[in-house]
Amino acid sequence: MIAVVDFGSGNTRSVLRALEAIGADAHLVATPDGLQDAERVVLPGVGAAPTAVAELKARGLWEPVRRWGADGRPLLGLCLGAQLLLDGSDEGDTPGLGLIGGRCRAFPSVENGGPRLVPHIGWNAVETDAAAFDAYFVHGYWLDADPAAVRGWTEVDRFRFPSLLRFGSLTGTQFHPEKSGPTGRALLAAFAAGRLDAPIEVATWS
Amino acid sequence: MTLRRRIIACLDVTDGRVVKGTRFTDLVDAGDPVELAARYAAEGADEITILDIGATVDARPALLDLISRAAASLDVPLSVGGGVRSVDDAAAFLDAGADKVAVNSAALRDPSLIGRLADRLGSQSVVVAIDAAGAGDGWWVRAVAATEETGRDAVAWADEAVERGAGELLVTSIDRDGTRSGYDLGLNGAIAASVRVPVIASGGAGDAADVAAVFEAGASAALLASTLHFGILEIGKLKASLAARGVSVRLPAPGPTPEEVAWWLG
Repeated sequence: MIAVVDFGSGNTRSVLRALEAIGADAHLVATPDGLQDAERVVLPGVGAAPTAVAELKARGLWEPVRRWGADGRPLLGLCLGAQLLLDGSDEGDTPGLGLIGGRCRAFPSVENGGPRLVPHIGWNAVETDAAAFDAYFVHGYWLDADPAAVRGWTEVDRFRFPSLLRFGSLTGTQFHPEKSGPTGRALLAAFAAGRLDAPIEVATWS
Repeated sequence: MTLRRRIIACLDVTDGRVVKGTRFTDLVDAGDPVELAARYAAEGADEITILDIGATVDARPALLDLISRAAASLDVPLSVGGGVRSVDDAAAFLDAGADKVAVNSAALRDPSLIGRLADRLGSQSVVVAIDAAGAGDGWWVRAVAATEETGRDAVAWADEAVERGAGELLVTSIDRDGTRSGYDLGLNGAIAASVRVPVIASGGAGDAADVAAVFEAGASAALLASTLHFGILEIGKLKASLAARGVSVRLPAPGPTPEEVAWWLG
């Protein structure tokens, strides 16, 4: 069973619908008990980091999700859910789950080499060592993550940022697989089938 | 690589059917919305927009049902507009499965609605739709399906909408709506140059050159309706033609297998 962590975020139902559409046994989980029957966990999220952290804590889900990831169990963070995997976010100076080293940062201004349009909304390419594929993005902050955890990059107006993280059995996507057409569905299917479970050998940052 | 220009398929809906008119009138039936939305997504639409142009309170439960059925069959973002008068109206659209909500007349009546929508839903889900017609040396905003003059300058209203929290602007040229005579490059260009959020150009698409021209003018996305419904343009061919003109677009491709994706993610 895949537990989709429900902390009231806007894309929760879209993620559930997408998992159901590929035939996965997925359920919304809004209490810590719900994680007990899960084999894999999806942490969705859109909107503001401080609200998300407050909601996860209010529902008693923050520490169980952190422990799930820290124990090396399969966890997929989507967009804000991926940002929460890091040590913290500049958005409201919010602490993260600390499962992957790094910090979530606001895009720099145009004058400092940042993108002209913020938030970064729309389809863009994700480039990995093996392939490049298009995915749908909506975000105003970017993953300044431990380079050892970065598996994919995306560029907007010459500003290049990590868009795909793998660290142990953790996977994080800055894009929205649930809105990224057949490729996004294939990524969710890969996670649902356990193909992203295996811990990856990585060097630590420091 | 950089951000792709988006092609958005728009379904104007009333009484559960897709309709399309010219300059906001003379509506003709164009099909079933759920079926059309899924077809356009399969053909390569980057996003689907559903606008309820009837937008009566009585029809609201039917619209929510339509949103939920359309969302269930889509793997690309869905925006919905029409008759949004309150934050609760917008939240109900998102709960039903929409990713973004477009607001128009209600924001003109009470601009503070934009800020309240952004606070509750996040700016990324708030699209302010602007219907404007050219007159004199500028473009002027009309409300209530383009029937009511507001006296507002379109560029000034665009600036204010973004300032108040709009994440995107959907700019429709009333003069060009349904005419297939090309987008209003002046209107879309002036607004795109003035704001730092994506502009979705609407009204006037006739061929690939029109779409390329409005991207050149600064629009991030082009919205198409009647040209798609009546088979004048097909999204796959349109995108191939845009790519040949050097426009960065997402080309429709068969999805990879989960095994391939797992390998890509190494």
